[in-house]
Amino acid sequence: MMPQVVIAGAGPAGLAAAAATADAGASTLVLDEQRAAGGRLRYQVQPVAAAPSVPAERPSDLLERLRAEAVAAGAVVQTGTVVSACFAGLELLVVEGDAASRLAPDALIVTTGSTDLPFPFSGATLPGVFSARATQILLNEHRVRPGRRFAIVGSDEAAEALTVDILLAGGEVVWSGVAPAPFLRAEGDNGVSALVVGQDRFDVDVVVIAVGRQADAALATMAGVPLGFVAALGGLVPLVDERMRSSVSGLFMAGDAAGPGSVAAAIAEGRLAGVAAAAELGLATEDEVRQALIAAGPEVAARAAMRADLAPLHQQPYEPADAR
Amino acid sequence: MAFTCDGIAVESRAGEPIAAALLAAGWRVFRTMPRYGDPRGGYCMVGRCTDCLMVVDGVPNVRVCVTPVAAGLDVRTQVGLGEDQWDPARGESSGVA
Repeated sequence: MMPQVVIAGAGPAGLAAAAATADAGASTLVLDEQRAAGGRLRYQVQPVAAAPSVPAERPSDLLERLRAEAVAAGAVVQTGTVVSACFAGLELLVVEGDAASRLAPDALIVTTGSTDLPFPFSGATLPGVFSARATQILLNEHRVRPGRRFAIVGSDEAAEALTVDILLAGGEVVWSGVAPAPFLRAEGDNGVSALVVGQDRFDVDVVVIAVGRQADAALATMAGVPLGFVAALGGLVPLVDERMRSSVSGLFMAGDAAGPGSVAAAIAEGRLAGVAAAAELGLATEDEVRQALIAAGPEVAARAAMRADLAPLHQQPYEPADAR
Repeated sequence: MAFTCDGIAVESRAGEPIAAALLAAGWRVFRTMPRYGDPRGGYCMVGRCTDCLMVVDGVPNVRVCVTPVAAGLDVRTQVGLGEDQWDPARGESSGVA
């Protein structure tokens, strides 16, 4: 049976959206390319709050609850499956292993998360240079420490969290900070052995690039959703209105895919997008959407304000026929 | 669960990706690039960057960061585009990729 709602990405935003749409009575299918659901909740170990007003908890506990809520509401969560393309009329190309199939739901909620921002400098392609997320996945999910001595390029909250993760794993952070790319150089023959910062040289096994993340909105872009630029949201973000609705009919976005933010914001936006999508299908009332908007809280409102009145940066070359 | 990389036995835990097992075993170079032969050893660990392409059971261009281990896998360092084979005894490729 064709699901009424397909949700691309089973992280906090996607699972929260699935609970909302399934709760409203829409047949809901959540797809995720990774082998297990959870997104960032799988590789983060430090306590995280599901909402601003509740105490922080283990990411694995939060993930289990979000998944249980989605499944209890009737959503189907399918992992190891990539939503590879989105064509006009929300026609989706879905790839699982070597098999491809087609889905054409009434609504698509894109919760594909984010990608770490790159930071190219001399030697940054050497083995032993990893993204912040890769380092967290190795340390926290696979319990593999790819070296003992670490340098971290970056200074935001993510870099600080990473420092704690490295120390907990028994590693050592010998340098952490930001420097213009021309002042950074990773050295080594078949892998990093030193990071040179200006005049200083640090012997390290691993260099981590933790300079932030950007919305992974490729699927929405393919569908014809225009992008705008908000530096505070990681750069390019899809244009969505306050109820997470894009200009493409039936396409909603939430969480990091609509601009990197907290887990609490992802969950709140996911719920909001789920209710708004249900309303679009006639399964929720305008009143329920208004209530979801109020319940979403101040961070979601602040994110919406940053996206409001954004001008599209460019026009898609192959605009779908049904784009508004 | 044991597999081999360039003919050398590597221990791993069920369910983990090949890349995690190799990094745990101290492996650094997963592939060398087609033009200048510079080494790559994985970067994103989520299947995006293609830094970790290796030859797995004779199939080139396998993203080992998202490919789970299996007992008896024959994993090889990928040279260039993968038509070529890495020669561990000589520490270099057996021909021009």
